[in-house]
Amino acid sequence: MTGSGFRVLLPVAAMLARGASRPERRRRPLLVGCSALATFFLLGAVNQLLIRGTTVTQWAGLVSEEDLRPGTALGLALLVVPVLALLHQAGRVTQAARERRLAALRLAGATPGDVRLLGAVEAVRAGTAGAVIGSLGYVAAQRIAMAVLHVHDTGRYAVPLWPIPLVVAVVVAAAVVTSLRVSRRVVVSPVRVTRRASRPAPAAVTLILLPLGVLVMVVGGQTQDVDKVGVPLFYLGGALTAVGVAAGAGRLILASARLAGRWARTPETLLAARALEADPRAASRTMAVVGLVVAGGTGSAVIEWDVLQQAAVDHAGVDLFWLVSIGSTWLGLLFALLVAVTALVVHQAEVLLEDGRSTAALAAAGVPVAALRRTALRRTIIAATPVCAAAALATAVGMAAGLYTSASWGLAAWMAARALLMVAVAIASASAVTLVSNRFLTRAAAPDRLRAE
Amino acid sequence: MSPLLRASGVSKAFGRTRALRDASVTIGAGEVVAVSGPSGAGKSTLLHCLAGILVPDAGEVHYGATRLDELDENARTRLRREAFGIVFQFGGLVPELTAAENVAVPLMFGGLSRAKAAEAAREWLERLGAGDCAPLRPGELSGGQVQRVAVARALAHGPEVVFADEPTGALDSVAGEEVLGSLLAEARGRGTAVVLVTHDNRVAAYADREIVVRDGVAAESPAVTR
Repeated sequence: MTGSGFRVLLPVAAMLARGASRPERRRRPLLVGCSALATFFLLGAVNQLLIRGTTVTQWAGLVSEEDLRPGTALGLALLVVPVLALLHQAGRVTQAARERRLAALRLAGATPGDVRLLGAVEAVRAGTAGAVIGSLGYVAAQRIAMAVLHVHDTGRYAVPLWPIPLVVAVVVAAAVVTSLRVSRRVVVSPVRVTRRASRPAPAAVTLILLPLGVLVMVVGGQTQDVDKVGVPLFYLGGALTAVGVAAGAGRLILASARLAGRWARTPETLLAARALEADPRAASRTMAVVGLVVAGGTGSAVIEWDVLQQAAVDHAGVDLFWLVSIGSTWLGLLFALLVAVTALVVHQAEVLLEDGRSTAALAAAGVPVAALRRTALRRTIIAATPVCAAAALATAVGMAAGLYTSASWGLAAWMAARALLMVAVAIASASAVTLVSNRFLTRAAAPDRLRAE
Repeated sequence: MSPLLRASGVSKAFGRTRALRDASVTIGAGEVVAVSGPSGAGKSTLLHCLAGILVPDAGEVHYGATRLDELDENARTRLRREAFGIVFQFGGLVPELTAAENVAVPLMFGGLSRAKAAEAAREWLERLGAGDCAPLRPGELSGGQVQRVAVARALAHGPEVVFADEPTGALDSVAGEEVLGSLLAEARGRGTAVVLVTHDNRVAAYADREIVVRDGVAAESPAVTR
């Protein structure tokens, strides 16, 4: 196949696509959808950065005011993070079936490079389709929004054509990189599929960024030279905290799972804890994004506190600009949370459908499916709780201590309440999604999965 | 010997494939019965119907006075947990649990405390010559050790029937004989009936009686003294 290159590779990819199983066919719209969403938000961010000048308006300040647009662009770009996490999870769906198929292709003469390229071809197809849909969707949505909102200055705000191919290229490249990452630990030989030696457990050192980020935020907030040193330090601390949540999620989940496993009194908790202990990284990929949403929601509480205090001093209602801005932030957080928990559904479906033979054996041996459902729920709670709690605590301490010089019990209570609310909402969402995705358990526990392959 | 399990006129189809046709078999208490036949003959389907994992399309399956095919999923699950033990060709162990935990977890689902279940699991592993495996995970065990753990799991709660679906199919002959020897010695010692699915005549020779399944049709041989 190597000698013939793409002349053979493309028809083979088409043949494989035609012979795909039902779960694989369901995976494709997910990949296309993720690529479309990523394109939509990236194009939105680029669009913000390309707008010049200011139009005076109260309700759309985040877009119309020049100084605020970089922040809006950053917010939109950040929304790509959960979408990429979902894309990564979607890429893992039916991974085992695809690996077996690639092993068969290796037996038929394909080189390791060929099978990697075949994976990339699929990613390019799905990524391109999604990016085109996302671009058209963005342009159409923007036109409709401007018409509905009676924007006269459309030339200023409309996205120009030239960045669209660039954004499409970035999204397709991200899809390819994600596809290659999924199978980077897999060696497909003509006779079998083997996984490289499992990675060591996440080290405690991965947690270091979290307290460091909080410390830098506090130092930045307390610095006298606010503009030159304070603000950059504060933002650096925020970024370090966010990276710390993502990097430390695996270790937090491992610690939580070990603790739960040690004290487990029920078989459901023991099964849940041991599954997380064996592979904390799988859960951390999704829970890190959930944790970041919690951090974002907790952090925005300080701004809301400021706005409410100002409104109280002015004896006036909250300014419309702030209402729209805070509302937009909440919408963004809600969207990120939805995408993150969707990734959780995809992850659980993948685990159950691909590695579910032991689940089927447990069910056949008399373990009720309801108990297996409880196991899945406890797995989510054991993983989500420490990540969300750490994210909320770090953000609350960093933001409050960094931005306020004098101790305020009101602010402390406000931040604590918000942190608790965010943790509760995040864990409840993840749990609800787990309960919904538990319908896959019925299939995973089906007797036909007991047959040897 | 009084029949412990009785299937009469059992049929089961998967789509247009008729896996089992009008099968009638009986299993006595403490009896070791081999279900043999070529691949795809319907052996595993018969075992799954007898164990209440599958519900037949037609016919009846009785376990003592209980009609299995009329029970709902919850009741069949409870019955499997309390009265049956199951051993699969691939072990069916939970990869994240240690060998001891794999044996203990079904006992915990049966209501035993973690400490008591762990103690019972260790005793069973010792008894089956797999005591050293207790702290290891299935990925760290050999095929024979995995099957010993699976046998311990199937026997630990004191079932009346053990269903073994090709328990030695993935093992070499020496390991296979060791696993089978352990299973049958423990079962015979406790008066537990064993339904043993196999396509290997040497394995079938261990049984008191043989049921041959061919193209979904089951034929019973008379009992032999071994």
